[in-house]
Amino acid sequence: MNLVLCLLSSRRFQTASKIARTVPGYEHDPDDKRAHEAFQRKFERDKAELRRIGVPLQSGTDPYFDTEPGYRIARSDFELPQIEFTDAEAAAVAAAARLWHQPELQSGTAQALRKLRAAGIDVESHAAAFPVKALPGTEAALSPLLEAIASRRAVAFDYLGSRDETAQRRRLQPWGCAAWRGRWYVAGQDLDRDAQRCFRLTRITSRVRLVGPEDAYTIPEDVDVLAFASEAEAQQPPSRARVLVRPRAAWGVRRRADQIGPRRAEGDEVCFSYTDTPVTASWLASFGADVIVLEPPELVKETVACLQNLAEAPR
Amino acid sequence: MSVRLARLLNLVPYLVARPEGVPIRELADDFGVSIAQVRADLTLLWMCGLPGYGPGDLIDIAFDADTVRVNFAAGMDRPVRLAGHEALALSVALRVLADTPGVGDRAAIASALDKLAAAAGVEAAEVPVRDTVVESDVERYAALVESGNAARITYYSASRDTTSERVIDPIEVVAADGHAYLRAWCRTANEVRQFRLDRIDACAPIDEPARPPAVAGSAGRSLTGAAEPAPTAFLERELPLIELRLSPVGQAITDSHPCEEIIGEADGYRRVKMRARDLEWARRFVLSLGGEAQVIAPAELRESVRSAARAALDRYGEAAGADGR
Repeated sequence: MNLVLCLLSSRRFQTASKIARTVPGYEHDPDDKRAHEAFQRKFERDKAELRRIGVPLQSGTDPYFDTEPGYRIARSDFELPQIEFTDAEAAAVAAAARLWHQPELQSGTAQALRKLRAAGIDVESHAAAFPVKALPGTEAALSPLLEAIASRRAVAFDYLGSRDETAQRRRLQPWGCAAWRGRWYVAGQDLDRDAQRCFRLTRITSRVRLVGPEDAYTIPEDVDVLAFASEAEAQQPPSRARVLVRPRAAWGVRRRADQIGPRRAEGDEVCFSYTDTPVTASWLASFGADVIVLEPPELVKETVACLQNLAEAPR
Repeated sequence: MSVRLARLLNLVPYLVARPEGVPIRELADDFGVSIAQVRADLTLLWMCGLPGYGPGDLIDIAFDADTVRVNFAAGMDRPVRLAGHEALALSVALRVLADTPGVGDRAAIASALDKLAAAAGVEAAEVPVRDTVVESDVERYAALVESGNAARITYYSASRDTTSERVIDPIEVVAADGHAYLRAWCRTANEVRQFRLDRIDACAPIDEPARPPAVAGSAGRSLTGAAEPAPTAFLERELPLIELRLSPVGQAITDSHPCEEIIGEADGYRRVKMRARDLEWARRFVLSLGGEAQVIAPAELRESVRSAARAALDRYGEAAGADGR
């Protein structure tokens, strides 16, 4: 806190040694090597913490007074600008702040609201005026990806592609995220395949880890993640499934059918289109013995694999 | 530590913005901490100030009776700008709202987005949002809600695998997890239900006003931002409790299904306890997870999942045997 006030109070850069002399909590004997190293570690920790809170630390050297680099906080960058919301805007912000389920995004919006409240804007009091009607989809991977994009760091995660049998480790320089048709996507440069790729967040099966240094890459101009997402989905030509459905059973499969028949004693043949083999297979498996997949072979194989997992699941 | 520093940085400008003073109880409530914590924070702030740290340099906060006001803020008049991740979390949520059909005042959302962008210290990344729900006929159901009429619908229930006709009193359209739902009083079930729009096979308004009985418990949520449960949630104490062991892939269900207990295991698996509507629903649910979930309890459910899967495998076996002949 004193560090913030000290850096804020002067337009000049304050060197680390001057800060150590003046700011309470940093006092030490600079000739004592261990004490000085401890100070440096503490100072680095505090700087990182301030940046996380949003305090813009500038570093530079004051050409007239110092030789070692110093730090300052420019008031115009530090302070929340004057901001006023109409009732409708405040209601929208309050509703938006309640949207997230995922802890990091939730705490991000909560911290933002606290800063607004400190500036005298209480959006929560308008919350009732705005019907909360939207909740986004699965977003666990969204927060680390946004963080990686902001700091230009690479990420690593396990990904189960629609044609993959098991999840594969992928390394990506993410460029941007987008929501399309109720699903979140991330696009970027796939470091293992050395190509541009788009990933669906629901198919990320592991935690997203940030790897490597900051500013490791630049994001190309005019990246259109939405175009990537729609393209990635369009690339998969739909497959035709032919399944045998027991009489008067599996209405969910019948509903989706574009062709029913011929009808046989053991059931009705039903055909429909699909794009995602694992998802379709586990859905068909959920009907148990009421549905037998006839075609194509990879869907049969995947459905049987699901059923075997279910039948033999160990304790 | 960082939480406390963030709070201290907010406390001073909060008091500056309220020169008339704030009761300490209100201060504690607004910052979501105890009164004792607020007192500790204020005491710490007393010892902070400008270099020199003489009496005129330190932050001066006065208590009178139980009201807190600031006399000297040592230059801390405004809160810190929104950090990149804070502005982003809010602005992406606003974009989701703006894109969701039937969600109110779009112009207000757009201008709030502009103002937030100006309040953020760094340029926030663009996170485009388009079509937050799969269903394309949201406006039609929003219009139905607007019309105030009851309706007769044909609805496919995935959990029962049946289609049924029912008369409903529409309440509102809700978007969640990529789908739009019509929230309505179901006269057949005698309770509020969420109907996923893409499972409504037919819908015709009837010439009768919608009269959903007043439903308790939908208002009054806390300031912590705890969101309403997704419409996929149905949590009732008397429902059967099931215990599953979920693979890393299967864990996605914990986002859309409320769990009473989630325990992480060393190998990335998780044990969860959740309420099921009934064991028939639970059987379909576990089967649909394709082996990514193992049933731990009850044993009855474990057996019914296994025998359903075995019965299906037997049929595949028969088919293969028939081909071989």
